[in-house]
Amino acid sequence: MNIAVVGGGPAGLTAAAQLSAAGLPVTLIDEWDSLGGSARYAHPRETWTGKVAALGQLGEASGMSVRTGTVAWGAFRVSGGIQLMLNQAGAASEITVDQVVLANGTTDVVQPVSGGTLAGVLTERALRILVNQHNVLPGSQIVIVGGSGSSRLAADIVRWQLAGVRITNVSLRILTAIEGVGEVKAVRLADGTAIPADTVVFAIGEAPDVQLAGMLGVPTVFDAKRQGWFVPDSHPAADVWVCGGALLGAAGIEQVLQSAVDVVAGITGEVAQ
Amino acid sequence: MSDSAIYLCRCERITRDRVTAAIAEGNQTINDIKRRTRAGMGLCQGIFCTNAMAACLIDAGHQPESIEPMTWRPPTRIVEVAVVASESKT
Repeated sequence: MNIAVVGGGPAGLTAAAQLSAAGLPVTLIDEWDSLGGSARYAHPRETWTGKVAALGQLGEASGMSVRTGTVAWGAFRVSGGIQLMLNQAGAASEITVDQVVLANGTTDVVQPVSGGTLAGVLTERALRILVNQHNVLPGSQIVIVGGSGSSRLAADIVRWQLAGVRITNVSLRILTAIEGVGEVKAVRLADGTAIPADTVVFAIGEAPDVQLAGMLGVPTVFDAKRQGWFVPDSHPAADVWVCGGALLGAAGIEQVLQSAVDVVAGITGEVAQ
Repeated sequence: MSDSAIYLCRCERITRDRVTAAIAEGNQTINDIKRRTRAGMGLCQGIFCTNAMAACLIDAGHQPESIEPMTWRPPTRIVEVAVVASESKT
């Protein structure tokens, strides 16, 4: 039995490394040039990032095939199993596997709002990438909309405030419009007040990326509260497994890693039978 | 259009008003809205706007759990035509 794991973040890397260590032939595919997924732009204080790096080494030592910089842009059922269409910087290839583990994470949720296309409007993930990966703070008057992910920014927010950056947290419910010409100048609230701003950050949630699951015929159900489609469970088809954010949406790291461990137990359990 | 327009699908520059009008015209699924308006047919392939289309359908009286996503089709990310062409030969 050969396995492809799509997504080399905390969940995918855990699943791939453990499956490979269990002696199964694994190919790990990630669209970025380096593994780690969200660990690449986690704050240095988030100590689990070291654990993710160690997993990468474990996976390499166990001989799994790692294909970074490679996008799995399509998935089809063919006679020999599941075929994944791959694109590595313009070089096309495909692999056919018996089982696929979808660990391709989440997308930040955004909502249509007046002024939402102005320069200076970004998602929480984009902010985390700017700050933690590139050491860039996008503005000096930042409005954070929603609070789903802002706890991850809490320590940074205090630090930025000490450095003179003005941070305001508003709920999506009271956000009427983002104002400006070409770029953000202010955020207008339902009571008519305007908050001067040069940056607006949507931190209102994360939804699973279910594109590949959908292409493989896996059913999904819309969750109005979490604003996304979710697969029903971690093993929604005989040859499909889902873990990490792709299964859970927004979730804590322990829950994400546990979901990968559960998938590994499921696959190795089936192999043993 | 001015900056104050509320864009639901920024890739194809489709406003939320356009989507709610399409629903009122009788397009009662995300696939129908997509075919009528092009919302979700741009570069991001609906990653950032299908949830907003679902919200419009809920506002129009649909039950959340009854709302199907658009039919997911390749590619999940931007892919050069040459890549697709070379795949089709194999």
